[in-house]
Amino acid sequence: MDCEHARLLLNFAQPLAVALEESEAEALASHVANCPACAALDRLRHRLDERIGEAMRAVPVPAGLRDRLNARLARERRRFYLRSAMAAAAALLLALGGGWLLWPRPLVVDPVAVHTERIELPITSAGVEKWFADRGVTMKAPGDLNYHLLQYCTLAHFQGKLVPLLEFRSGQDSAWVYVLDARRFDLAALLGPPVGTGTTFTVEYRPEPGDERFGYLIISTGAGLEAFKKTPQAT
Amino acid sequence: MGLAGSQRNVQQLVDDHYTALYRYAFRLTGSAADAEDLTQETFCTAQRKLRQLREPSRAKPWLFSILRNEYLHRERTQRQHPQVSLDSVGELAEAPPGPLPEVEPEQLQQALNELAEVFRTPVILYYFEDFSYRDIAEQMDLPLGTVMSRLARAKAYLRSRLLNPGPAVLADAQRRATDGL
Repeated sequence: MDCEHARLLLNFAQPLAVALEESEAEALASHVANCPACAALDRLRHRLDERIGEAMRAVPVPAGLRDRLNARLARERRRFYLRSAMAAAAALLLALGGGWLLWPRPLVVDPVAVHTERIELPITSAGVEKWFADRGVTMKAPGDLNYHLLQYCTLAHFQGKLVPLLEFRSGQDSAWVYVLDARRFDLAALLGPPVGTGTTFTVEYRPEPGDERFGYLIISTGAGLEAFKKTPQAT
Repeated sequence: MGLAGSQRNVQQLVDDHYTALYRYAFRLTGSAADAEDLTQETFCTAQRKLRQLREPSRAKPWLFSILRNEYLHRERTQRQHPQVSLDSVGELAEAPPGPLPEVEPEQLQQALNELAEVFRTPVILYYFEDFSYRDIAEQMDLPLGTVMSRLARAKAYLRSRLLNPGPAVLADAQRRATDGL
């Protein structure tokens, strides 16, 4: 083996490369052992490769990156669950046959359609009602939920109309509460047991016990609404 | 369920591979912000497509492949860095006089930015050590011989570039990159 050939093969005779035939590797080793120039070049390349490798790997990882990644993944999962739940809820409501509830156009539920201001947390159910009232919307916030778990309030499209929407979060589970007004929807048509359950969400309708003008369409992930209810300690 | 795999599996992927992925993304893009963005998009894609990962031991190359595809998709719509031709880059023939210089990470990144992606990717993966020629060939969907050739040329370029980072070399690299434009 001559130096030109040896120097070509030295490119590939690296750990983990395993790119040389055994006979080639043996011939190369024999040449390097007996050729000071090639041996020196091999040492130089190794040392330089080590330094390049160290510099290549010397990338500082930003603080908090893992937390931001996990937060983003959690948001993506929630969006997926919400889209699935909305599609299922829409299909179930259609199947219930509340014909006059429906506009003669595809059902559109877009919970982030209006998100102009963030509600200041923590807040009570009365505080939520006042927040909406200050914005011209009369509503009744469900009194049995734990408002320490409230994430945000907004107005969202439901069957072509804007309605108050509250999102609660308990650990990895979420519950979205659409507040429906009897003057705008046929609440009686929605009364009954849970109207749908998927593998990852539950859809149910509940009237507001203290005010017959309002009812709640609730979509929740996880074990259902119990996780979001007020505990004896919560206010 | 479209979000295949459990949350725990995705969490494990993040814990095991996020630093390596970020470092790879940084060397590809040269930008911390772009690298973080790419890393996030990679894990989001992985979360959606976790069912495609049949062997957990192949998670790292799988994730690197997703990241590279995302990077290439973005590169198609963005302005490229001026890049050098490696046609006449020669390998080191002898040791330079004096001690071997230190390789500064910023200097390395500048040299990497001058390489076309088809050379930059294999050389980055090579120096991360965990990837064999065969892994790199699978990543890039190229024959092994092509990978070996590109890697040899890219390594030769880096070695000569980093040993001789003077203005004359930079000017020459820029001239080659703009020849024919």
